[in-house]
Amino acid sequence: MSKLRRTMLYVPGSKPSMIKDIYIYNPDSIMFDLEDSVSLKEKDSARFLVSEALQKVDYRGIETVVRINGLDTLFGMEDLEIIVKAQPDVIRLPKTETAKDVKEVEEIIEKLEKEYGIEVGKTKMMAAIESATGVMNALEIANASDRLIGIAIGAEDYVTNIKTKRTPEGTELLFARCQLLNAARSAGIAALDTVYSDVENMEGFRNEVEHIKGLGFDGKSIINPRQIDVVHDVFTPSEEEYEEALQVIEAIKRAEESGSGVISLNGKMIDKPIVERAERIIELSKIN
Amino acid sequence: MDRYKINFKDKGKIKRKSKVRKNIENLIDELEIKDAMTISFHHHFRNGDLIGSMVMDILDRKGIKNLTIFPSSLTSAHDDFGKYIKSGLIGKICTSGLRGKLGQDISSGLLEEPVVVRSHGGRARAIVQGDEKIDIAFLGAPHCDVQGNANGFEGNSPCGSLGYAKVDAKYADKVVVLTDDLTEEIAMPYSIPAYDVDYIVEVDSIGIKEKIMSGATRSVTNPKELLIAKKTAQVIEELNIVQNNFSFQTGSGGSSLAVAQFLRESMIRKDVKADFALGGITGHMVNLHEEGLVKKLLDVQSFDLSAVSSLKNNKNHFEIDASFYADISNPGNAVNRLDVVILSALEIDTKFNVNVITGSDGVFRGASGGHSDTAAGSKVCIVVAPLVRGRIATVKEKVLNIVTPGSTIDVLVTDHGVAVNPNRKDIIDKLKESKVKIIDINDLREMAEKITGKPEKINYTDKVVGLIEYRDGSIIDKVYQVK
Amino acid sequence: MELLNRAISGTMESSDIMVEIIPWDKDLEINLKSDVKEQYGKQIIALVKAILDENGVKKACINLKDKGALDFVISARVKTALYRAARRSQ
Repeated sequence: MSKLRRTMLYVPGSKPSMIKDIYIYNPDSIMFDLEDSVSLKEKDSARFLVSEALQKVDYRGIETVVRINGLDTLFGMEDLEIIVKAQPDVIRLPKTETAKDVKEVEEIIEKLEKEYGIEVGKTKMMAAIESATGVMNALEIANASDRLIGIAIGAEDYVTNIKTKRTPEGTELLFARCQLLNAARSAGIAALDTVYSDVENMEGFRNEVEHIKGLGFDGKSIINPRQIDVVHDVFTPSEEEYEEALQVIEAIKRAEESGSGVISLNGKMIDKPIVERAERIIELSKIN
Repeated sequence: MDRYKINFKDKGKIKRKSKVRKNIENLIDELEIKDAMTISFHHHFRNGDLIGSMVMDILDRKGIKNLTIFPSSLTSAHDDFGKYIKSGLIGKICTSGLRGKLGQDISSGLLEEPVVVRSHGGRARAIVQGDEKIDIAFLGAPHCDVQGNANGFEGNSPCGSLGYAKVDAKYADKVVVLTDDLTEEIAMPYSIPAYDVDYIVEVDSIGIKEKIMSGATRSVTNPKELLIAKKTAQVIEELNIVQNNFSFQTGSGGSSLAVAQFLRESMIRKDVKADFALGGITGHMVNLHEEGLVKKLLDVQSFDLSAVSSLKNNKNHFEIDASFYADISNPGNAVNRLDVVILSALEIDTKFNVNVITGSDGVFRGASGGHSDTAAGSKVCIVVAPLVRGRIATVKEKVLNIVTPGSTIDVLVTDHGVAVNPNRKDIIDKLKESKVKIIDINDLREMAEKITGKPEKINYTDKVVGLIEYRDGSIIDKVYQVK
Repeated sequence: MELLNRAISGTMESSDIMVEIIPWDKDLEINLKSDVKEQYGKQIIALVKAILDENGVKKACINLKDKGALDFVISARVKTALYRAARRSQ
């Protein structure tokens, strides 16, 4: 089964107390942030801190992602130099607008991998799309590099860019979300949703998670460990879904054994997409 | 025919003798306090206590020497008591807790005689059984009438339950109540009855209100505390403890408070009610009580204003004394009825022994409290703690000092995993078939050391600065002077 | 590595360490204040020395105020301080 990315937990790259044991919350991925959560004064220290953490802390096999500063800032290049060496699983680019943005970073990563004696291609990438231009270019971005494991939407910058603000219903984000999701699916990579910043509003959070799961997203960036349970819960198939999936698989088996071409269950025809979905439900159920 | 003799002597109307004295100074002269006597205080005013220093200052000025002080506990309000040791006023200390500057002073050998550390139940037992005799108890009371009926839930600086002080009032030779709310009106209901009180002094202030207790009920948002609480709740769930008329005690630490919240959800889901919650009472428990989920609150110590007002207003919120609470010699003690208790730990070792009195540097910085009492009495005792605090491992091969023996600790819940005492096969069997993953405590210890690195050994001298008394009066461990 | 100016990194928050590097002409001096000095003082100083050695720093005064930082944090903070001390004007 492909890697689960239901929860990508942010941790500010400047906070030792959080970085040291963030793995105890068991998110699907940990994202160390060097960008927006780190003040300009502490860009250098966060870089060193995340680098040391990646090398010395046992993150229990949880996927490690580092969000670097853009190459158009004073910090992006140095972030790459230090972070690639520390070998996170994934480097996340902020504010991606074009395929070129991805390719530029890819080239630098490749050069650094060679320089540090790291297997070329080992460092994966993720691109965050946070503007109207980025959304319109989602497909070319998603296809820009073999290193890309996913694209994510960053809603705060995006809604400002399109001259609106976020609402609980998320109507303003619907187009961007769908565009991004289809780009990701077309490229065969993961689609990740934006953060929900009101940690106290668990009901609103759950609604949003249900919404994006319905749209087809693989998961969501989260800013507080308290949000993990809700996401994992929403993404865990219900018992009925699980039972139904089991029946689908059984029906397939029976059909194969009897050599019958057409497969049906309770009068409904079962075709390939239904089987795929059933398989995914069963695998998701096993995790929990 | 002499069997029925008339011996009546007419004395007329009772001449009322007032117990009220103008000031402590004069009272202390009247009491004829001598060197080497034992005096006691209570710690219901916690960090806000003014009584201890008030009394000690006067005794010091009078040149008294070599007293044994026997408070129910010592807090940061008593940080500067080292000066009374230096002046010779204090010759011995018996307490539940010792921390801050005074803790450091004692650990560095300032006091010749070792401090005796007792649990709340152990202290009550020592008093009831006569191991310790209190000559004079100086008891602060937030509300007191002119005869000495006193309570803790009215007045200017309420503290709620006076559970620890009740034992002193009953057994001390002389009992002095100090209050800043003296009334002509009879103080009913009372926590301390007038017949236990010999003297009353009105003082300007018994305590600093804000430091006596927190106003608001603390809501837990720390994700680590919530994580530990969630794991603890899972354990409780799997052990099927939440049943009709179960009983529990939780501490005032963040994880412990949050467990109470999870218990609430569980009780509602299962449609059951708890018989009682015991010990230090918090606003969280009051909420459960007022919601009808917990039938009775047995309160030896109130932790916040919500607990105080509940004690005053709710008829099933009962004030209990320390002997009723946890005294091993009291056949009706409440800890022996507990189904589950959630406790904290400064250190716990691979034999499940717990230290709640000294820090990883060997210096006094904690309190025995009701730890060993509830651990021994409860059906299931769960210790909750982060695996590592800062750079200090909580789980170690051997604790520096034992307060609670591992034989009475059943489950350890950390942020890195859950361990079960091997002598609780029944719990292991139940959890094995559940979602809760059990880790060997030795693996937890190893994990902790990998994170922190191996610490240097603490340098002790061979001078004993503390004796840790188990609840039955036996000595369970010695605390040595730190170099 | 040549140290050009005094530099500080880290904070006084729990699990962190504050590192101050002052370039001077005298031999290396390391001063440590720590909540866990008894248990980890020697290890902390050895770690800091090793990083200074790696960077060829021989003449400096290092002041450490530790709040229970783990080794990886100490390394990061010392490296940050060195990085800052070796930069001209900040």
